[in-house]
Amino acid sequence: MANTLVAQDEKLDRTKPPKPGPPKDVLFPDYFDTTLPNGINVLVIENSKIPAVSVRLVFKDAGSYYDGGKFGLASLTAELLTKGTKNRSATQIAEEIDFLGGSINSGSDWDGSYVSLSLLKKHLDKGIGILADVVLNPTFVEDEIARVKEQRISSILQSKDDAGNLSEKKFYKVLFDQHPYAYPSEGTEESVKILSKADFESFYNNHYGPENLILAFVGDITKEEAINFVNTQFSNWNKSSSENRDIKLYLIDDTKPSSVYIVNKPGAVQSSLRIGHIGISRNNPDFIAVTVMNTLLGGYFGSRINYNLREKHGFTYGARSNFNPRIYPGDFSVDADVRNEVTDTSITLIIGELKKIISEEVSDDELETVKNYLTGVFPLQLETANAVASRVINLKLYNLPKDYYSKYISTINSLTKQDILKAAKKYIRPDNLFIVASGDADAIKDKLKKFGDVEVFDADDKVLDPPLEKGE
Amino acid sequence: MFISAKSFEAQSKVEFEEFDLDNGLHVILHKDGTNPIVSVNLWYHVGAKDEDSNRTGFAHLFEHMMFQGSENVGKAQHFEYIQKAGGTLNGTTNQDRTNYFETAPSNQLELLLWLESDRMSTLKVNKENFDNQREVVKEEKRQRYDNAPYGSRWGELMKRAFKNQTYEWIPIGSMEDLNGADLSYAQEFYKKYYSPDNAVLVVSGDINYDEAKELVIKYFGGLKSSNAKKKTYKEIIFNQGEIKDVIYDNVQLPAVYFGYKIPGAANKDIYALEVISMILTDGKSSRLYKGIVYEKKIAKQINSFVWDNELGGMLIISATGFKNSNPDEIDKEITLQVNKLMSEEVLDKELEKVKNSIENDFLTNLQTTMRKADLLAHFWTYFKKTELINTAIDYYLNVTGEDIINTAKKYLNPDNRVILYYLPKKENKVN
Repeated sequence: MANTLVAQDEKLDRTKPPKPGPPKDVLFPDYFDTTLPNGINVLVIENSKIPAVSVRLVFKDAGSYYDGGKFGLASLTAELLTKGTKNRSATQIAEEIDFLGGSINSGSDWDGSYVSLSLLKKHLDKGIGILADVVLNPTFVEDEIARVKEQRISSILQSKDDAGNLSEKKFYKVLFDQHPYAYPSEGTEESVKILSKADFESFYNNHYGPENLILAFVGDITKEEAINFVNTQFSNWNKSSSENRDIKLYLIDDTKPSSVYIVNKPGAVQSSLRIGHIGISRNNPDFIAVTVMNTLLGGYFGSRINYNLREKHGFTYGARSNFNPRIYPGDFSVDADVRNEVTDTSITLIIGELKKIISEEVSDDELETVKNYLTGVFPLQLETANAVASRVINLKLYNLPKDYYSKYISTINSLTKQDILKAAKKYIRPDNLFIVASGDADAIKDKLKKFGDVEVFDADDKVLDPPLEKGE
Repeated sequence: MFISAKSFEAQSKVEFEEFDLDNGLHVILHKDGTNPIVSVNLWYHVGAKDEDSNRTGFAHLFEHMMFQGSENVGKAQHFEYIQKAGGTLNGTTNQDRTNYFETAPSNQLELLLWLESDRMSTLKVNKENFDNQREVVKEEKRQRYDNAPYGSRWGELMKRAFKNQTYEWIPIGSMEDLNGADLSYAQEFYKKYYSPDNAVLVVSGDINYDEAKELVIKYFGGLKSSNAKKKTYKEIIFNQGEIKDVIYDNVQLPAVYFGYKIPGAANKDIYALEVISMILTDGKSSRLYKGIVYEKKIAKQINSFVWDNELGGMLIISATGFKNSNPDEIDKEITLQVNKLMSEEVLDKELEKVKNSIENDFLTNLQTTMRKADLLAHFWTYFKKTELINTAIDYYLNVTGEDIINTAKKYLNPDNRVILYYLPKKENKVN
């Protein structure tokens, strides 16, 4: 089915791909980095491509790792910052920031709490005044607390409709067990219900302070302008927030034989799969080797897992594997949504790929493709000021070496097939998998027994079936 | 200070060059050397509205085929070439167009053009790949529509609002038509729509205009056009009487969807409709958020957007309730606020707020070479006026209070809308 080429085209040889031009150097952009006497780490990532600025605050040791059993506490504390201060009501904050055409957002994940302001440069003066107010003077008023709690509980309820969400939550719960990472940052219906004004005030007092604050200015702003803003708004902040912070480490048993957990979604036409085990922390020195190995395994479209399940078998719209590193080791997992009839076959194929990557060296060609891909997309990932800022903030949040990004490309290129096999053997364990499927239990349960003990739960995490060996 | 006096426009203006090849391919080049990367974005002017009513989903299924190999590129090699070059890529299909785009280090531009021109001229579709991608698309439909909460909402809205008109179905199509899609029609479809005279090619990023132009001519200049005629699109009917329906879904929370029919993307009323949408739901101080979510607490979230297809679309307003919310009450409040737009002039301060937000969105949209490429293709395809990438903002900023009243009166009356309630199926309630 070819459109015929005309004669003038004869000289053009279309049979071979054209050669690339000479590569251009990729340099990680310079940034300004200083620490103030009160402990605030100020970063300035300058880029004047568009006349806009974001100001991003990251509070370390203020994530939901520190919820202390009150799941959702860190996240709702962050949300409540913008819902009233000593100087402004929630409505005033909304009106003032909307009028500037900008936005203030706040939230948390497991490792930190975040507040960010984005707007055009011409409105920056006013915007930073509001930003400083919400960070320094939140009041946690009862009426707003009731409102955000009701919103949150509804969101948690709503998330039970989503198969991917159900399998992810169940996966983290069985994987992390007693560890704080076992619970979603957003909290649970039960935990959110009982959070009180005193909880929010105490979390704020213990986890928000200048000495754990990274304050990044991003975009069309000079370091002099940034420092001037910090001096006006944040230099008198001298509270110490760290004395009550309880840093507890948790051990996880990751040697259990593989087991299966089904979250029942009656009538579902697909199973949403999450298969994996404990992964690595973000500052693990093997992180880049693990990234290359995982990319080849399931980290990009051309990966083994996606090719096998999607392009070869047509079982799924997409399948991928991820190491989700955090301050403490996060998870390694493969996820895919597959139709009911091929749920067990898909799991078999995934486990097959995990076994293969730990037992055979990858081919030269596969490794070269992945190296080219990761080093080639690196400058694509640095296109916007905010994308650069996220990486600079990560250096700080996860205590990575200062030259991490300047050495990123050379580190990738230095890796050998043996390094990849070593990383796979060390960090992937196909016999110790937590296999979670959210889907129609009646349709898939029996076929999943071959992978390990099967337990069935409902969307509220109540046990529906005992393990099959014991019951039925 | 001289530096800070640089004007807004000068700092953010998108410079470009454009020309037509003899075969009808429209080409737009935009130089932005900030980063050593380049984006190619190729729009074919074909989408779901070009499908026959018994072949829904075909344009999108065909999009998948475009990654399956051509004369000089084997199966899976399209992805492999680009990823091996350090690039990212994808394609999407909507009601009016199908686009293919990739971003890569700028020294790889020629490779991208070689790949795009090869599949524009010599695509190979075989049964094995066709059947494989049919299954992939069926899984996509299950994952994103059938198995997803509220996943059917856009399809259900369109099929009511556009019954027996253009845009009656959404691009994913029906399972029945996907199962029935045949290979021989793929050949015909390809020949008709995947022709240089039905496409616009944008190259955006770290380029040299002369070199890029030469490369485009080298790879695309020799391709032949189909000169095919498109079908006559069915007329879009306004004010066909209010349509209200209830859908029971696997959901915990009730939701309400409003769709008011609006004209095509290039109609000047779209600017005022965008402003109206923002007055209603942009930001926490917006009328509907403040009224329904914050003060009355009868819904947990509210959104709106202008779905501006080429020939006609909808202003959508969607609200998700709490577990015990009464959808009638949400419906009543939204209608009240919408009616107010027709009777009371917006205050200057509120209008200024919305325009500040539009200005912000407009500029933050211009940050990446890919986003700019997509906007350039958009303004060419639907307006034949590429310069709008720099000037469309003025039309928004010129919308007056009177424009808003007139536009609201024209499109936002009950006779011109569809309302759908999504309610939990009884047996699926948790708690």
